[in-house]
Amino acid sequence: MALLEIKNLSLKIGAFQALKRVDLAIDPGEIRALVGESGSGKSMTALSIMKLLPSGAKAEGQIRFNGKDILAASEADMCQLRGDDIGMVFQEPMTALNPVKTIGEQVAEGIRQHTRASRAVAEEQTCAILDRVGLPTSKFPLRRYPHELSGGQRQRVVIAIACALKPKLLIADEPTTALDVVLQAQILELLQSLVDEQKMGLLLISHDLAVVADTAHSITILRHGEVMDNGETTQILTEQTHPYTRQLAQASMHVPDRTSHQHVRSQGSLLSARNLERSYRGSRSGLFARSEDTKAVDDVSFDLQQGQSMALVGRSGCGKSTLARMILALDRPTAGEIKFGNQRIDHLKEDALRPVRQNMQVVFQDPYGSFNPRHKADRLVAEPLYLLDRPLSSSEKRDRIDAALERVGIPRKDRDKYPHEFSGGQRQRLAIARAIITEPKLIVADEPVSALDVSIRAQILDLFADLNGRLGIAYLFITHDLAVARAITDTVMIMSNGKIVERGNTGEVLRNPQSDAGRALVQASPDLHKALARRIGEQG
Amino acid sequence: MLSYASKRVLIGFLTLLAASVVVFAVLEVVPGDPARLMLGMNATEDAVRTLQEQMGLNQPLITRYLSWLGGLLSGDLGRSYTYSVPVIDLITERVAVSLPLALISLALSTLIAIPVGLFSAARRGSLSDTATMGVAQVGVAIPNFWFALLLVYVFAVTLRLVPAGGFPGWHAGLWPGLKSLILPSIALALPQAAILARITRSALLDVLGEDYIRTARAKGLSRRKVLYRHALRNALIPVLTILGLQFAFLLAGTIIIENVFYLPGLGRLVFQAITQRDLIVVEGVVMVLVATVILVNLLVDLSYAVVDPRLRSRA
Repeated sequence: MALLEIKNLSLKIGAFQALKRVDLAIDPGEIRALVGESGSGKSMTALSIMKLLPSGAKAEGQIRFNGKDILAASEADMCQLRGDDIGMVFQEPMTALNPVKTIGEQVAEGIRQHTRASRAVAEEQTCAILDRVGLPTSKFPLRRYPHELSGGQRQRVVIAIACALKPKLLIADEPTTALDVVLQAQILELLQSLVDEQKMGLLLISHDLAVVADTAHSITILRHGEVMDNGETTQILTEQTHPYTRQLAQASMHVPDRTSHQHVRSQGSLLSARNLERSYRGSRSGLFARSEDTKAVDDVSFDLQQGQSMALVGRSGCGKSTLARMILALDRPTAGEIKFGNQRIDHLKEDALRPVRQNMQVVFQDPYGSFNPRHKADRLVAEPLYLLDRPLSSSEKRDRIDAALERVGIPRKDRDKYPHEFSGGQRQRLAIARAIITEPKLIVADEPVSALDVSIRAQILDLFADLNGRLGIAYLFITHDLAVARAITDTVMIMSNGKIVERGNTGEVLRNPQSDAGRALVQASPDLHKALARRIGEQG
Repeated sequence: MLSYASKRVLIGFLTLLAASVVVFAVLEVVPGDPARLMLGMNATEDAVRTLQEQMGLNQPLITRYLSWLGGLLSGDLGRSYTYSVPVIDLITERVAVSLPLALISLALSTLIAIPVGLFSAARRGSLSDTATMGVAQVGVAIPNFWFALLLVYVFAVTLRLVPAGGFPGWHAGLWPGLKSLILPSIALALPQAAILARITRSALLDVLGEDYIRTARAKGLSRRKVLYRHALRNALIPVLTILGLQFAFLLAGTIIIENVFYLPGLGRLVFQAITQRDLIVVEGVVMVLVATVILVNLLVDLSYAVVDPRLRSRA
C-alpha cells in the first residue's frame, strides 16, 4: 500500500478552483517530484496534505496517509502527525526560522512536542540531527541564532527540524530555489541521502525540470491545478508524450536565436574597470579593536565592448552585486577606476552622473519590488526620462512610452494599469521597457529571469536577445544560473571571493572551466540533458 | 550586547546634556529680564536687582550655565520664587504622587492590553475580535477626564468605595494613599490600554503571517502554542515602543486628571509654576521630565536587545 495516496483532490479557495481532481501517490523510499509553473497548485497540494490551508479553503476528495483519512482528521490528530510522521521544508530559508529563538531551541521544540522527552534527551537528539544535516555542534553550537547562519545553513536547520523524528513522509516545497547552484546541489544530495537512510517518502516540489530529473524517481506535472502528466521520471522526460511536458522541457532549455543581428556589434570600448576594489570596515569587536576589513570586490579589471553581452557568474556572496552597484555608480569603489565611454565615472557627483545614467540602466530580479505600487504603467516606464538633457513635451513623452512598451510586447491599452494588474512576466517586460526608454548603451541585469517561470523566462530571454540585436544594447548579466549565461551572453567572467577567477568566451569557459570556482559551478549546475543521459546510462 | 548597551547609555547622556543647554537657553531667549518677568511690571527696581543677584543674572552666560549645571548634578535646582523652598523639595514631593500614579496606570494598561491583544489576534475576523476591537475603539475615543468623572460618580459618589479626590499623603499610610490613586490610575490606564491592545493585536497579526510561524505549525504545534511561544515575543518590539511613549505621557501629561481628582502631582506643579511665572520651577521640572524620558527610552532600547538577538550583535 502506498504511504500517501491522494485521489480526486479538488480544492476551492473562495471562488478560485486551486486544484481539480488531483491524483498522486508516494511509496516509502520514493522521491516524487511535483512540477509546475507558479499558480499551478503545487504548494496547495502540499498544504492540503499538512492541512495547513489558508482560511476559506475547501478540499474535497481523498487524502490517505499511512491508512489515515487526512481530510477527516481532527486538528488535534493533525498536530500529532505534523512534525512527527510528516515533515515539511519550505522555500525561503532566510525567513523560515524564528529570529528570536536559538537553532537548538527550534529543533528541540519539535522533538519535545512529540516525544515528551526530557530537556537533556531532546538536546542530545538535537545535536545528533544537526550533526547529520552537516551542522556539527562543535562548529555550530546550539546557542546560535538564525541570523548568525547563512542561507544554506539555515535551510539545513529547517531540514533538521523536519527530519528530527524520522518522518515517514517529507514534503520539500522548492527547498533550493532561493539558494545558489552549489548549495542547491548540496541540499539535494542531503535530502536524497536522508531518504535512502530513513526510507521515507519525499514529495519534492519544484519548478525546475533539470533539478528533479537528477533526483526524483517519479514525476507529476501540474498545470492550473490539474495533473497533466504522471509517471517514471526518465520515461516522462525522454519520451515527452504529453504536449505540456514537451513545452516545459523545451522552454527550460530554450536558447534565443542571436545569430541574425551579429553585425550591429562594433568594437568600441563601452565600459572599462581597472583594479576595482570595494572594502567594508570590519565590525567593532571591542572598544578600540575592529575585526579586519572585508574586501567584497578585490582588484577587478575588465572591458565591455559596445553591443557586447557579458555574464558575471558566481555563488551568492561572491561580490557580483557589489560590483554591479559600483558600475551603476550607486556605490563608490574604495580603489580603482571605472570608465564609461571615455569618461571616468567613479568619482562623479550625482549631477554630473545624469548624462551617464541616461546611457546605463538596470533591470532587477524582482520587478514588483522595484515599482511604486501606486503608479500606473506609463508613469513607471517614463521614470528615467528626467535624465534626458532636454525635457520632453507631453506628446513626445507619450510617443516614447508607446515605443518602449511596443518593443517589449506590452499592448498600448495596458499603459493605464497598475503593477499588480500585470503578471510576473509582464512586469519584467515593464521593467525592461523602463530600462530602454532612454535608449541606453548598457543594461545591467541582476538575475533578471530567476524569479520567472520557465516558459516566461524563455520569452524574456528572447526579448533580451532581440533588443541586443536590434538596438545594439550591451548587457552585463549577473546570474548564478549558467543556463542563462549560455543562452544570452558572448563572454563570461566567473567571480569568487571578490576576484575574477576566470574569463573568456561563454561557451568555451562553461564547457571546460579551468578554475576551481568555475568547475564547482558547472558541476553543480542542473542540466536536463546531462541528467537524463546519466539516468538512462544507469538504467542500462 | 555590551557595546550596544554602552552606546545607548552614551547617546542618552549626550541627549541629556543637549537638553540642558536648550532648557537653559530658553530662559535667556525669553524676552526681557527674567527677574523683572517673574516679579511683574509693578515691582521696584530694588526688588528686581535683589532677585537678579539671587539668580546670579549679573554673571556671564557661560558661568551661569556651568554653575546651573553643577547645581543640577548635585541635586540643587535653585529656589522657587513663589513657594520660597528649594525646587528639588517641591519636585520630590510631587514625584511621590506622580510616579506611583504613572507606574500603576502603566501596569494596569499592560495587564489589560496584552491579553486582549492576544485574544483578538487569535480570533482574527471573528465576532469576538470585532466586538473587542470595537470596545477598544470607543476606549481610544473617550476623553479620559469624562471617563474619570464617570468613575467618580459611580465608585466615589454612589458606592462610596474610594475618595472622590485629594491625596492624604504617604505619611497617612500606604493604603489610604493607594486608595486615592485607584480611580485616577484607572481613568488614565483604560484609554492607554485601548491603544496598546490595538497595537498588540496588529503586531501579532503581522507576525502570524511570517514564514517561521508556518514552520512552527509544521512542527506540530497548535495554534495557541504558536501564538504564545513564537508570535508574542516577536510582536513585542512595537508594543515596547508604545509603552515607553505612554510612560512619559503618564508622568507629566496627566494634568487634567490631576485636576479632576485634585492630586498634587507634577503636572499641576508645572501648570501653576507657569501661570505664576516661577521660571526656576519650570526649568527644574522640565529637566527632571527630560531626564526621565531619556531614561525610559534607554530602558526601552535595552529591552529591544533582550527581545531581539539580532540587535545584540549589531553595535
